[in-house]
Amino acid sequence: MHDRLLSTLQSVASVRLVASLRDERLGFENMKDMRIFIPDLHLISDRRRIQGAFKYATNHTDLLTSVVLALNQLRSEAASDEVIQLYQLGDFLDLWREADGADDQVDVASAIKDDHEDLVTALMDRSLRTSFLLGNHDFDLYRWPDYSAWERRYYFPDTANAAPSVVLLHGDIFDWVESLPDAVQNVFVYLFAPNVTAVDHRLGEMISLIRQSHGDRKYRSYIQAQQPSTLGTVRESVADQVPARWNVQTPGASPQQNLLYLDSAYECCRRANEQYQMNLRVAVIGHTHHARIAVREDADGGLFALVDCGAWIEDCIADGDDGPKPNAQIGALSGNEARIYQLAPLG
Amino acid sequence: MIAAATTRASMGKCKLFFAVGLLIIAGCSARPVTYVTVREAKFRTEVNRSDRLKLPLSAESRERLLRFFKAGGDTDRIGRDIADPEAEQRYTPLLNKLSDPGNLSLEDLTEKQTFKLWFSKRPIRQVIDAREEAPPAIDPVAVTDDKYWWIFYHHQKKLVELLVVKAIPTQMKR
Repeated sequence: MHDRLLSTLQSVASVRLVASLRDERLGFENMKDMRIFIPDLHLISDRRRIQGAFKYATNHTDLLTSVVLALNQLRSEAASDEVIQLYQLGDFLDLWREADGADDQVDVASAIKDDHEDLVTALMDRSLRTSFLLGNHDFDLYRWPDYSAWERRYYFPDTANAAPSVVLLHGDIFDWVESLPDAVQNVFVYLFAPNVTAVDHRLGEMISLIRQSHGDRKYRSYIQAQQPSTLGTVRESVADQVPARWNVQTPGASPQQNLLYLDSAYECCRRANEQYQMNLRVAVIGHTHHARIAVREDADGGLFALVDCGAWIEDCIADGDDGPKPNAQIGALSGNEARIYQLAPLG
Repeated sequence: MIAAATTRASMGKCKLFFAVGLLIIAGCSARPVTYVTVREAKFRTEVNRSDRLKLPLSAESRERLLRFFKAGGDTDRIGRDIADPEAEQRYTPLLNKLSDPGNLSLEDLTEKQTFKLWFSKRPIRQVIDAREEAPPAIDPVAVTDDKYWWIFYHHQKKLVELLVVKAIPTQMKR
Protein backbone atom coordinates (compact mmCIF):
# COMPACT_ATOMS: atom_id res chain seq x y z
CA MET A 1 0.00 0.00 0.00
CA HIS A 2 3.00 2.28 0.48
CA ASP A 3 3.62 2.13 -3.27
CA ARG A 4 0.04 3.17 -4.03
CA LEU A 5 0.26 6.05 -1.57
CA LEU A 6 3.56 7.14 -3.06
CA SER A 7 2.23 7.19 -6.62
CA THR A 8 -0.86 9.08 -5.39
CA LEU A 9 1.35 11.71 -3.79
CA GLN A 10 3.57 11.89 -6.86
CA SER A 11 0.53 12.57 -9.02
CA VAL A 12 0.06 15.94 -7.31
CA ALA A 13 3.41 16.80 -5.69
CA SER A 14 7.12 16.55 -5.89
CA VAL A 15 8.07 13.97 -3.24
CA ARG A 16 11.25 13.40 -1.22
CA LEU A 17 11.72 10.71 1.38
CA VAL A 18 12.62 12.18 4.77
CA ALA A 19 12.87 8.87 6.60
CA SER A 20 11.74 5.27 6.45
CA LEU A 21 11.82 2.37 8.85
CA ARG A 22 10.77 -1.16 8.01
CA ASP A 23 10.96 -3.50 11.01
CA GLU A 24 8.72 -6.34 12.15
CA ARG A 25 9.08 -5.14 15.74
CA LEU A 26 6.84 -2.15 14.95
CA GLY A 27 3.85 -4.42 15.60
CA PHE A 28 1.73 -3.11 12.74
CA GLU A 29 2.04 -5.93 10.28
CA ASN A 30 -1.19 -5.75 8.27
CA MET A 31 -0.22 -5.01 4.67
CA LYS A 32 -3.80 -4.06 3.84
CA ASP A 33 -4.04 -1.42 6.52
CA MET A 34 -2.55 2.02 5.90
CA ARG A 35 -2.66 4.94 8.31
CA ILE A 36 -1.73 8.33 6.89
CA PHE A 37 -0.81 11.31 9.06
CA ILE A 38 -1.09 15.01 8.29
CA PRO A 39 0.70 17.01 10.98
CA ASP A 40 0.23 20.56 12.28
CA LEU A 41 -1.29 23.14 9.93
CA HIS A 42 -1.86 26.11 12.29
CA LEU A 43 -4.43 27.74 10.03
CA ILE A 44 -5.38 31.32 10.82
CA SER A 45 -7.54 33.81 8.95
CA ASP A 46 -5.97 36.07 6.34
CA ARG A 47 -6.97 39.17 8.23
CA ARG A 48 -5.47 37.95 11.48
CA ARG A 49 -2.23 37.00 9.73
CA ILE A 50 -1.75 40.63 8.71
CA GLN A 51 -3.18 42.14 11.89
CA GLY A 52 -1.03 39.98 14.16
CA ALA A 53 2.10 40.42 12.04
CA PHE A 54 2.77 36.69 12.13
CA LYS A 55 5.83 35.64 10.22
CA TYR A 56 4.51 32.18 9.44
CA ALA A 57 1.32 30.99 7.77
CA THR A 58 0.38 27.52 6.68
CA ASN A 59 2.59 26.38 3.79
CA HIS A 60 1.27 25.32 0.39
CA THR A 61 -2.44 25.17 1.27
CA ASP A 62 -3.35 24.59 -2.39
CA LEU A 63 -0.95 21.67 -2.58
CA LEU A 64 -2.32 20.22 0.63
CA THR A 65 -5.85 20.51 -0.73
CA SER A 66 -4.78 18.59 -3.84
CA VAL A 67 -3.08 15.97 -1.67
CA VAL A 68 -6.21 15.48 0.44
CA LEU A 69 -8.43 15.20 -2.64
CA ALA A 70 -6.02 12.63 -4.09
CA LEU A 71 -6.07 10.68 -0.82
CA ASN A 72 -9.86 10.66 -0.93
CA GLN A 73 -9.65 9.18 -4.41
CA LEU A 74 -7.15 6.58 -3.17
CA ARG A 75 -9.48 5.70 -0.33
CA SER A 76 -12.47 5.36 -2.62
CA GLU A 77 -10.54 2.89 -4.79
CA ALA A 78 -9.48 0.68 -1.87
CA ALA A 79 -10.66 -2.92 -1.82
CA SER A 80 -13.31 -3.86 0.68
CA ASP A 81 -10.76 -5.66 2.88
CA GLU A 82 -8.36 -2.70 2.91
CA VAL A 83 -8.18 0.12 5.43
CA ILE A 84 -6.97 3.59 4.46
CA GLN A 85 -7.40 5.97 7.35
CA LEU A 86 -6.31 9.59 7.41
CA TYR A 87 -5.46 11.41 10.64
CA GLN A 88 -4.82 15.04 11.26
CA LEU A 89 -2.45 15.20 14.21
CA GLY A 90 -3.73 18.38 15.89
CA ASP A 91 -3.08 22.12 15.66
CA PHE A 92 -5.30 22.15 12.61
CA LEU A 93 -6.73 25.56 13.57
CA ASP A 94 -4.50 27.94 15.49
CA LEU A 95 -6.89 29.48 18.00
CA TRP A 96 -4.03 30.90 20.03
CA ARG A 97 -2.77 33.04 17.19
CA GLU A 98 -6.25 33.88 15.92
CA ALA A 99 -7.62 35.25 19.19
CA ASP A 100 -6.09 37.71 21.59
CA GLY A 101 -7.65 36.24 24.70
CA ALA A 102 -8.02 32.58 25.56
CA ASP A 103 -11.71 33.08 26.30
CA ASP A 104 -12.39 34.25 22.78
CA GLN A 105 -10.73 31.31 21.13
CA VAL A 106 -13.75 29.13 20.63
CA ASP A 107 -15.59 31.78 18.67
CA VAL A 108 -12.91 32.17 16.04
CA ALA A 109 -12.71 28.66 14.61
CA SER A 110 -15.45 29.37 12.07
CA ALA A 111 -13.71 32.51 10.84
CA ILE A 112 -10.50 30.57 10.22
CA LYS A 113 -12.39 27.88 8.31
CA ASP A 114 -14.20 30.52 6.22
CA ASP A 115 -10.82 31.66 4.89
CA HIS A 116 -9.67 28.16 3.97
CA GLU A 117 -12.86 26.70 2.61
CA ASP A 118 -11.38 24.43 -0.07
CA LEU A 119 -8.86 22.81 2.26
CA VAL A 120 -11.28 22.46 5.17
CA THR A 121 -13.99 21.04 2.94
CA ALA A 122 -11.57 18.52 1.44
CA LEU A 123 -10.21 17.44 4.80
CA MET A 124 -13.62 17.18 6.46
CA ASP A 125 -15.32 15.50 3.52
CA ARG A 126 -17.55 12.77 4.87
CA SER A 127 -16.32 10.19 2.40
CA LEU A 128 -12.76 10.64 3.70
CA ARG A 129 -13.75 10.21 7.35
CA THR A 130 -10.63 11.93 8.64
CA SER A 131 -9.92 11.46 12.33
CA PHE A 132 -8.80 14.61 14.10
CA LEU A 133 -6.62 15.04 17.16
CA LEU A 134 -6.85 18.16 19.29
CA GLY A 135 -3.52 19.93 19.59
CA ASN A 136 -2.39 22.51 22.10
CA HIS A 137 -3.28 25.38 19.76
CA ASP A 138 -6.83 24.15 19.16
CA PHE A 139 -7.60 22.25 22.33
CA ASP A 140 -10.53 24.51 23.30
CA LEU A 141 -12.53 23.16 20.39
CA TYR A 142 -13.49 20.14 22.52
CA ARG A 143 -16.13 22.25 24.25
CA TRP A 144 -18.10 22.80 21.04
CA PRO A 145 -20.62 20.48 19.46
CA ASP A 146 -19.00 20.36 16.02
CA TYR A 147 -15.74 19.07 17.48
CA SER A 148 -17.01 16.75 20.18
CA ALA A 149 -15.75 13.69 18.30
CA TRP A 150 -12.20 15.02 18.04
CA GLU A 151 -9.82 13.10 20.26
CA ARG A 152 -6.63 13.56 22.25
CA ARG A 153 -5.26 10.16 21.32
CA TYR A 154 -5.94 7.16 19.11
CA TYR A 155 -4.73 3.59 19.47
CA PHE A 156 -4.43 0.99 16.77
CA PRO A 157 -4.56 -1.57 15.32
CA ASP A 158 -7.93 -2.63 16.67
CA THR A 159 -7.67 -6.39 16.67
CA ALA A 160 -9.61 -8.66 18.94
CA ASN A 161 -6.72 -10.67 20.27
CA ALA A 162 -3.84 -8.20 20.65
CA ALA A 163 -3.19 -5.01 22.53
CA PRO A 164 -2.60 -1.95 20.34
CA SER A 165 0.98 -1.27 19.35
CA VAL A 166 0.66 2.30 18.09
CA VAL A 167 -0.45 5.44 19.88
CA LEU A 168 -1.22 8.71 18.10
CA LEU A 169 -0.81 11.88 20.10
CA HIS A 170 -0.37 15.49 19.25
CA GLY A 171 2.86 15.35 21.25
CA ASP A 172 2.51 18.30 23.59
CA ILE A 173 2.25 15.97 26.57
CA PHE A 174 6.00 15.46 26.21
CA ASP A 175 6.54 19.17 26.86
CA TRP A 176 4.81 18.69 30.18
CA VAL A 177 6.50 15.39 31.00
CA GLU A 178 9.80 17.21 30.77
CA SER A 179 8.83 20.58 32.24
CA LEU A 180 5.88 19.88 34.58
CA PRO A 181 6.33 16.25 35.68
CA ASP A 182 4.23 16.54 38.84
CA ALA A 183 1.25 18.06 37.06
CA VAL A 184 1.10 15.50 34.34
CA GLN A 185 -0.04 12.46 36.34
CA ASN A 186 -3.79 12.71 35.75
CA VAL A 187 -3.34 13.70 32.16
CA PHE A 188 -1.15 10.65 31.65
CA VAL A 189 -3.98 8.40 32.80
CA TYR A 190 -6.38 9.95 30.32
CA LEU A 191 -3.96 9.90 27.40
CA PHE A 192 -2.57 6.43 27.90
CA ALA A 193 -5.22 4.40 29.71
CA PRO A 194 -7.31 2.77 27.00
CA ASN A 195 -10.59 2.62 28.89
CA VAL A 196 -10.58 6.07 30.42
CA THR A 197 -12.73 8.78 28.91
CA ALA A 198 -11.84 12.32 29.82
CA VAL A 199 -14.39 14.06 31.98
CA ASP A 200 -14.73 17.84 31.94
CA HIS A 201 -12.62 18.13 35.07
CA ARG A 202 -9.71 16.26 33.48
CA LEU A 203 -9.99 18.25 30.26
CA GLY A 204 -9.98 21.38 32.41
CA GLU A 205 -6.70 20.23 33.95
CA MET A 206 -5.29 19.79 30.48
CA ILE A 207 -6.35 23.28 29.52
CA SER A 208 -4.51 24.61 32.58
CA LEU A 209 -1.36 22.78 31.54
CA ILE A 210 -1.69 24.03 27.98
CA ARG A 211 -2.14 27.60 29.18
CA GLN A 212 0.84 27.26 31.47
CA SER A 213 2.92 26.04 28.56
CA HIS A 214 1.80 28.91 26.33
CA GLY A 215 2.54 31.53 28.97
CA ASP A 216 2.37 34.93 27.33
CA ARG A 217 3.86 33.88 24.02
CA LYS A 218 2.32 35.52 20.95
CA TYR A 219 4.00 33.31 18.32
CA ARG A 220 4.73 36.25 16.04
CA SER A 221 8.20 35.30 14.88
CA TYR A 222 8.02 31.53 15.31
CA ILE A 223 5.89 28.76 16.85
CA GLN A 224 8.21 25.82 17.46
CA ALA A 225 11.32 26.25 15.39
CA GLN A 226 13.44 29.38 15.72
CA GLN A 227 15.69 27.87 13.07
CA PRO A 228 14.62 25.60 10.18
CA SER A 229 14.37 22.04 11.46
CA THR A 230 17.16 19.80 10.22
CA LEU A 231 15.95 16.82 8.23
CA GLY A 232 19.33 15.18 7.64
CA THR A 233 19.84 13.34 4.37
CA VAL A 234 16.57 13.17 2.48
CA ARG A 235 16.25 10.83 -0.46
CA GLU A 236 15.60 12.77 -3.63
CA SER A 237 14.54 9.86 -5.78
CA VAL A 238 11.81 7.75 -4.29
CA ALA A 239 11.09 5.96 -7.54
CA ASP A 240 13.67 3.33 -6.60
CA GLN A 241 13.23 0.74 -3.89
CA VAL A 242 12.77 2.48 -0.55
CA PRO A 243 15.39 1.14 1.87
CA ALA A 244 14.38 -0.59 5.09
CA ARG A 245 16.09 2.17 7.06
CA TRP A 246 16.63 5.65 5.80
CA ASN A 247 17.65 8.62 7.90
CA VAL A 248 16.61 6.97 11.16
CA GLN A 249 17.80 8.88 14.23
CA THR A 250 19.37 6.87 17.03
CA PRO A 251 20.90 7.72 20.42
CA GLY A 252 24.65 7.98 20.20
CA ALA A 253 24.68 8.54 16.47
CA SER A 254 22.30 11.48 15.97
CA PRO A 255 22.36 15.05 17.27
CA GLN A 256 20.33 15.57 20.42
CA GLN A 257 17.70 17.78 18.72
CA ASN A 258 16.82 14.88 16.41
CA LEU A 259 16.07 12.73 19.45
CA LEU A 260 13.71 15.22 21.10
CA TYR A 261 10.98 13.42 23.10
CA LEU A 262 12.25 9.96 22.17
CA ASP A 263 13.01 9.10 25.78
CA SER A 264 9.85 10.75 27.14
CA ALA A 265 7.67 8.94 24.61
CA TYR A 266 9.42 5.66 25.31
CA GLU A 267 8.96 6.11 29.05
CA CYS A 268 5.24 6.97 28.75
CA CYS A 269 4.62 3.98 26.49
CA ARG A 270 6.61 1.63 28.74
CA ARG A 271 4.54 2.79 31.70
CA ALA A 272 1.29 2.37 29.76
CA ASN A 273 2.35 -1.12 28.71
CA GLU A 274 2.99 -2.03 32.34
CA GLN A 275 -0.05 -0.38 33.88
CA TYR A 276 -2.69 -0.96 31.22
CA GLN A 277 -1.53 -4.15 29.51
CA MET A 278 -0.72 -2.33 26.29
CA ASN A 279 1.91 -3.27 23.73
CA LEU A 280 2.91 0.19 22.54
CA ARG A 281 6.01 0.29 20.36
CA VAL A 282 5.32 3.27 18.15
CA ALA A 283 4.29 6.81 19.05
CA VAL A 284 3.19 9.00 16.15
CA ILE A 285 3.23 12.71 16.88
CA GLY A 286 3.30 16.20 15.37
CA HIS A 287 3.75 19.30 17.53
CA THR A 288 7.52 19.82 17.21
CA HIS A 289 7.47 20.75 13.50
CA HIS A 290 10.53 18.59 13.07
CA ALA A 291 9.96 15.59 10.80
CA ARG A 292 12.01 12.56 11.75
CA ILE A 293 11.91 8.93 12.81
CA ALA A 294 13.85 8.28 15.98
CA VAL A 295 14.42 4.81 17.34
CA ARG A 296 15.53 3.27 20.60
CA GLU A 297 16.64 -0.33 20.69
CA ASP A 298 16.96 -2.16 23.97
CA ALA A 299 19.50 -4.75 24.91
CA ASP A 300 16.75 -7.38 25.02
CA GLY A 301 15.98 -6.81 21.33
CA GLY A 302 12.96 -4.56 21.83
CA LEU A 303 12.43 -1.54 19.61
CA PHE A 304 10.59 1.71 20.18
CA ALA A 305 10.00 4.25 17.40
CA LEU A 306 8.97 7.87 17.59
CA VAL A 307 7.49 8.93 14.27
CA ASP A 308 7.34 12.71 14.26
CA CYS A 309 5.47 13.70 11.13
CA GLY A 310 6.62 17.32 11.00
CA ALA A 311 4.30 20.17 10.01
CA TRP A 312 2.90 22.37 7.24
CA ILE A 313 4.22 25.55 8.80
CA GLU A 314 7.68 26.98 9.39
CA ASP A 315 10.73 25.69 7.52
CA CYS A 316 13.09 22.78 7.31
CA ILE A 317 16.45 22.16 5.70
CA ALA A 318 17.97 18.94 4.46
CA ASP A 319 21.64 18.17 3.95
CA GLY A 320 22.70 19.63 0.62
CA ASP A 321 19.73 22.00 0.28
CA ASP A 322 20.68 25.47 -0.89
CA GLY A 323 18.34 27.04 1.67
CA PRO A 324 15.34 26.39 3.91
CA LYS A 325 12.22 24.84 2.39
CA PRO A 326 8.67 25.16 3.70
CA ASN A 327 7.68 22.26 5.93
CA ALA A 328 5.14 20.14 4.03
CA GLN A 329 5.31 16.62 5.39
CA ILE A 330 3.11 13.60 5.54
CA GLY A 331 3.61 10.34 7.43
CA ALA A 332 2.38 6.83 6.71
CA LEU A 333 2.37 3.47 8.45
CA SER A 334 1.52 0.10 6.93
CA GLY A 335 2.89 -3.43 6.95
CA ASN A 336 5.47 -2.76 9.67
CA GLU A 337 6.87 0.17 7.72
CA ALA A 338 6.79 3.84 8.63
CA ARG A 339 7.65 6.58 6.16
CA ILE A 340 7.76 10.36 6.17
CA TYR A 341 7.70 12.34 2.95
CA GLN A 342 8.50 15.96 2.24
CA LEU A 343 6.24 17.45 -0.45
CA ALA A 344 6.51 20.47 -2.73
CA PRO A 345 4.43 21.77 -5.61
CA LEU A 346 5.11 20.04 -8.94
CA GLY A 347 7.44 21.79 -11.35
CA MET B 1 -22.75 62.87 61.36
CA ILE B 2 -19.36 61.24 61.50
CA ALA B 3 -21.02 57.93 62.34
CA ALA B 4 -23.42 58.32 59.40
CA ALA B 5 -20.57 59.14 57.02
CA THR B 6 -18.61 56.12 58.29
CA THR B 7 -21.64 53.89 57.79
CA ARG B 8 -22.13 55.21 54.24
CA ALA B 9 -18.44 54.67 53.49
CA SER B 10 -18.50 51.13 54.81
CA MET B 11 -21.71 50.38 52.86
CA GLY B 12 -20.01 51.73 49.75
CA LYS B 13 -17.03 49.48 50.37
CA CYS B 14 -19.38 46.58 50.96
CA LYS B 15 -21.15 47.21 47.62
CA LEU B 16 -17.80 47.50 45.88
CA PHE B 17 -16.70 44.24 47.48
CA PHE B 18 -19.86 42.48 46.28
CA ALA B 19 -19.50 43.96 42.80
CA VAL B 20 -15.89 42.79 42.55
CA GLY B 21 -16.92 39.39 43.91
CA LEU B 22 -19.67 39.06 41.32
CA LEU B 23 -17.28 40.05 38.55
CA ILE B 24 -14.75 37.46 39.70
CA ILE B 25 -17.43 34.76 39.85
CA ALA B 26 -18.66 35.72 36.38
CA GLY B 27 -15.12 35.73 35.04
CA CYS B 28 -14.19 32.38 36.54
CA SER B 29 -17.35 30.52 35.60
CA ALA B 30 -17.29 28.58 32.35
CA ARG B 31 -18.85 30.31 29.40
CA PRO B 32 -21.95 28.52 28.21
CA VAL B 33 -21.69 26.82 24.86
CA THR B 34 -24.05 28.52 22.45
CA TYR B 35 -25.57 26.62 19.57
CA VAL B 36 -28.71 26.57 17.52
CA THR B 37 -30.75 23.48 16.77
CA VAL B 38 -32.82 22.89 13.67
CA ARG B 39 -36.38 22.24 14.77
CA GLU B 40 -39.05 19.78 13.62
CA ALA B 41 -40.32 19.97 10.04
CA LYS B 42 -43.47 21.98 10.69
CA PHE B 43 -41.48 24.76 12.37
CA ARG B 44 -39.04 25.31 9.52
CA THR B 45 -39.15 26.60 5.97
CA GLU B 46 -37.99 23.34 4.44
CA VAL B 47 -38.77 19.68 4.84
CA ASN B 48 -35.60 18.47 3.16
CA ARG B 49 -32.36 20.12 2.25
CA SER B 50 -33.40 20.01 -1.40
CA ASP B 51 -36.23 22.47 -0.60
CA ARG B 52 -33.83 25.01 0.90
CA LEU B 53 -34.39 28.63 -0.08
CA LYS B 54 -31.81 29.93 -2.53
CA LEU B 55 -30.28 33.39 -2.23
CA PRO B 56 -30.86 35.96 -3.55
CA LEU B 57 -34.53 35.37 -2.85
CA SER B 58 -36.82 35.02 -5.83
CA ALA B 59 -40.39 36.36 -5.87
CA GLU B 60 -41.58 32.82 -5.21
CA SER B 61 -39.23 32.37 -2.24
CA ARG B 62 -40.35 35.67 -0.73
CA GLU B 63 -43.96 34.57 -1.04
CA ARG B 64 -43.11 31.25 0.61
CA LEU B 65 -41.37 32.99 3.50
CA LEU B 66 -44.18 35.48 4.04
CA ARG B 67 -46.73 32.66 4.17
CA PHE B 68 -44.56 30.97 6.78
CA PHE B 69 -44.24 34.14 8.86
CA LYS B 70 -47.96 34.94 8.64
CA ALA B 71 -48.63 31.44 9.96
CA GLY B 72 -46.40 32.21 12.95
CA GLY B 73 -43.72 29.77 11.80
CA ASP B 74 -46.07 26.78 11.95
CA THR B 75 -46.61 25.25 8.52
CA ASP B 76 -49.78 23.51 9.74
CA ARG B 77 -51.41 26.91 9.85
CA ILE B 78 -50.40 28.09 6.38
CA GLY B 79 -53.52 28.98 4.39
CA ARG B 80 -55.76 28.28 7.39
CA ASP B 81 -55.40 31.29 9.64
CA ILE B 82 -53.20 34.31 10.21
CA ALA B 83 -51.16 33.98 13.38
CA ASP B 84 -49.08 37.10 12.83
CA PRO B 85 -50.92 39.90 10.99
CA GLU B 86 -47.88 42.18 11.15
CA ALA B 87 -45.51 39.70 9.54
CA GLU B 88 -45.68 41.18 6.05
CA GLN B 89 -44.95 44.69 7.27
CA ARG B 90 -42.15 43.54 9.55
CA TYR B 91 -40.30 41.25 7.16
CA THR B 92 -40.82 42.76 3.71
CA PRO B 93 -37.89 45.20 4.05
CA LEU B 94 -35.63 42.36 5.19
CA LEU B 95 -36.74 40.11 2.36
CA ASN B 96 -36.07 42.98 -0.05
CA LYS B 97 -32.50 43.16 1.20
CA LEU B 98 -32.11 39.41 0.86
CA SER B 99 -33.28 39.65 -2.75
CA ASP B 100 -30.38 41.94 -3.65
CA PRO B 101 -27.11 40.13 -4.50
CA GLY B 102 -25.23 43.21 -3.30
CA ASN B 103 -26.17 42.41 0.29
CA LEU B 104 -25.22 38.76 0.27
CA SER B 105 -21.57 38.56 1.20
CA LEU B 106 -20.64 36.68 4.38
CA GLU B 107 -19.36 39.99 5.74
CA ASP B 108 -22.82 41.52 5.43
CA LEU B 109 -23.83 39.18 8.20
CA THR B 110 -20.69 38.98 10.31
CA GLU B 111 -18.91 42.32 9.97
CA LYS B 112 -21.05 44.94 8.27
CA GLN B 113 -24.23 46.30 9.76
CA THR B 114 -26.38 45.41 6.74
CA PHE B 115 -28.97 43.47 8.75
CA LYS B 116 -28.51 45.06 12.15
CA LEU B 117 -32.07 46.34 12.19
CA TRP B 118 -33.34 42.76 12.40
CA PHE B 119 -30.41 40.83 13.78
CA SER B 120 -28.87 42.83 16.57
CA LYS B 121 -27.30 39.94 18.47
CA ARG B 122 -24.01 38.27 17.71
CA PRO B 123 -24.19 35.51 15.06
CA ILE B 124 -23.84 31.90 16.23
CA ARG B 125 -21.79 29.50 14.16
CA GLN B 126 -22.62 26.19 15.82
CA VAL B 127 -25.77 24.79 14.23
CA ILE B 128 -26.86 21.30 15.14
CA ASP B 129 -28.93 19.67 12.43
CA ALA B 130 -29.64 16.04 13.25
CA ARG B 131 -30.76 15.42 9.66
CA GLU B 132 -27.13 15.69 8.56
CA GLU B 133 -24.66 12.82 8.65
CA ALA B 134 -21.98 14.90 10.38
CA PRO B 135 -21.31 18.45 11.54
CA PRO B 136 -20.69 20.83 8.64
CA ALA B 137 -17.13 21.48 7.48
CA ILE B 138 -17.91 25.14 6.92
CA ASP B 139 -20.18 26.46 9.63
CA PRO B 140 -23.39 28.24 8.63
CA VAL B 141 -24.25 31.54 10.28
CA ALA B 142 -27.32 31.65 12.51
CA VAL B 143 -28.87 34.97 13.53
CA THR B 144 -32.11 35.70 15.29
CA ASP B 145 -34.76 38.38 15.34
CA ASP B 146 -36.10 36.69 18.51
CA LYS B 147 -39.05 35.14 16.66
CA TYR B 148 -37.02 33.04 14.22
CA TRP B 149 -33.54 31.68 13.67
CA TRP B 150 -32.29 32.59 10.24
CA ILE B 151 -29.62 30.11 9.24
CA PHE B 152 -27.50 31.26 6.32
CA TYR B 153 -25.32 28.80 4.37
CA HIS B 154 -22.41 30.24 2.47
CA HIS B 155 -19.94 29.22 -0.19
CA GLN B 156 -16.71 31.11 -0.97
CA LYS B 157 -17.94 33.87 1.37
CA LYS B 158 -21.23 34.40 -0.48
CA LEU B 159 -24.55 33.68 1.25
CA VAL B 160 -26.16 31.09 -0.98
CA GLU B 161 -28.96 29.39 0.95
CA LEU B 162 -31.34 30.14 3.80
CA LEU B 163 -33.28 28.11 6.32
CA VAL B 164 -35.64 29.81 8.76
CA VAL B 165 -36.70 28.04 11.94
CA LYS B 166 -39.20 29.16 14.55
CA ALA B 167 -37.27 30.17 17.66
CA ILE B 168 -37.95 28.76 21.08
CA PRO B 169 -38.21 31.56 23.64
CA THR B 170 -35.26 31.35 25.99
CA GLN B 171 -37.32 32.72 28.88
CA MET B 172 -41.02 32.21 29.50
CA LYS B 173 -43.14 34.99 30.99
CA ARG B 174 -44.31 34.33 34.53
